[in-house]
Amino acid sequence: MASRCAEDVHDETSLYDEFATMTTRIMVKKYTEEHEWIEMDEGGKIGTMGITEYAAKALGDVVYVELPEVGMECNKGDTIGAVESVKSASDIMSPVSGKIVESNEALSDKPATINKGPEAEGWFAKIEVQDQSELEGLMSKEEYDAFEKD
Amino acid sequence: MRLHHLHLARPIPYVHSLRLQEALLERHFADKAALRKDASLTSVAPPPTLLTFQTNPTYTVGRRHLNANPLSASQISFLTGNKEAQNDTSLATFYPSPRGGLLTYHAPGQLTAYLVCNLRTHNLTPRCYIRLLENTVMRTCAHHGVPNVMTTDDPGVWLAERSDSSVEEMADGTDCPAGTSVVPSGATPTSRKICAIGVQVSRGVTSHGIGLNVHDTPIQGGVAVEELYTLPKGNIYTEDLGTEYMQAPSTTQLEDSTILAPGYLSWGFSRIVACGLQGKSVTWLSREQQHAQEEQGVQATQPVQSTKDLTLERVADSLAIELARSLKIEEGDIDNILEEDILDVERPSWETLRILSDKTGKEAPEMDLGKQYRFRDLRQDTGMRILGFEDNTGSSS
Repeated sequence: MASRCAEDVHDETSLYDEFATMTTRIMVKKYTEEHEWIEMDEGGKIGTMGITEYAAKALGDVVYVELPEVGMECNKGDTIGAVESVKSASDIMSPVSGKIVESNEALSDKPATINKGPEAEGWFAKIEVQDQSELEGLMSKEEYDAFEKD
Repeated sequence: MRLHHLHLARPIPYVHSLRLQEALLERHFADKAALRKDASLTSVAPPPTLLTFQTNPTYTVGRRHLNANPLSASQISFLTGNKEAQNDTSLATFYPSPRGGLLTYHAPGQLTAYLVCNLRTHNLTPRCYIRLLENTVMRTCAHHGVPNVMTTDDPGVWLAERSDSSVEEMADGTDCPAGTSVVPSGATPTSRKICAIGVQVSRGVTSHGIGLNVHDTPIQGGVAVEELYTLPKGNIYTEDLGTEYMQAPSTTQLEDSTILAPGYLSWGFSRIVACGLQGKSVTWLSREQQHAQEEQGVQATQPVQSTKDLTLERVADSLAIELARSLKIEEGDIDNILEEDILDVERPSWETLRILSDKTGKEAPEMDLGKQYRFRDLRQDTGMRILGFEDNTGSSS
């Protein structure tokens, strides 16, 4: 196309933003042995959590999600909710200690979102991290991939 | 690898099965935590453990149900048959449960089987594990003369329309390891369900499992039939209380006509829409075994023999054998264990509790057992969030 319409410019800009965010994401996303992930925001205080691609596949179609209450305080390893298929329920553990600041309410209406994008739009909850050093003990993507292949 | 099997001969209160499960889960969790700190340690987690038992009549409900339809006090009262009488003996108990699935019922005559195992040890995903359980149950049914069973997308094991197909194993083309799929070719399901399934996975360790209906054991204790089928005062069915899950007790839920002497299963299941599935009914092994034999033109003497063979204990043993096979454990490596093997000193075995209860005439939670024994609120320990229901006694043990 000869001319560039407003939309083209918009797409270019958003692609750049995405790239920038992607780079940041790769640096701060951590994984647990229970197949959960946590991704810190730019401020380094709030982490978004969810279950991994592997866990979502292992579970099957999600039909119900039990989300944590906002304001709930939890320790690392505490059960904060669950993800259910028709026949089974899998507990979700918090990868770090802290306070839940947001739950992904969209999952109440559309639990299948977890299957579509478990590490993106299917995020589970956001937590205000109490102790940053707990993140050190979690696995990086490479470590998790190796772990999961075992 | 070994398979531990604990079979409890006499019906127990449902909470006791939770107590046994919790003890096993704790050992698994403690082991995992220790290994996480020091990877050089050897695992001392228990081997896969199968608990088979019957419970006193009890309804259990998953959180998916509770969240969508919190059960009201009247509904719970209906289920438990709480009466205004002075001796307020319930007909059934009611427990919320963290396992998957909706509303179901356990009672004498049903072999309830819970399996606690670490999925990672067996390299299983939750989805494949469910399939493994279903296949195990189907082979167990086949072993006891009911081969025409199958699974669908709905939870549980269902009777299939009779055909020439039999239970056989083949790879089902998914990512589950070959041999964990059992598919009768070209089978269509009937509306009769013989086994319910509902599993929980916590930190990769399974709990809960299945409820396989074996006999419609006649109800003991001289409860009048009318009493069992009377609607409570005020007729809760006129209120909008989530009646898609409950219904007026009737015999139309069962395929057979009149129930003159209701059994625990036919009575209990007839009062609910089990597992939230409308229009489905419930059946049990002894009845299906009889159908199968009638259709094959077997002589009258033989069904009697087979029914005698169809004890809960025999079915439990078959289940354990089939489970070992599913988990690739040798049949000789099944250990029959006792409650004491699971419960430590700080938690009394059911036998101990029963003896003490007989002596003191008190229910377990009210007994003063001194410092030696501790009762804990299972809900807090297992981190279960119970929605919409509070236990009136203030304790879940």
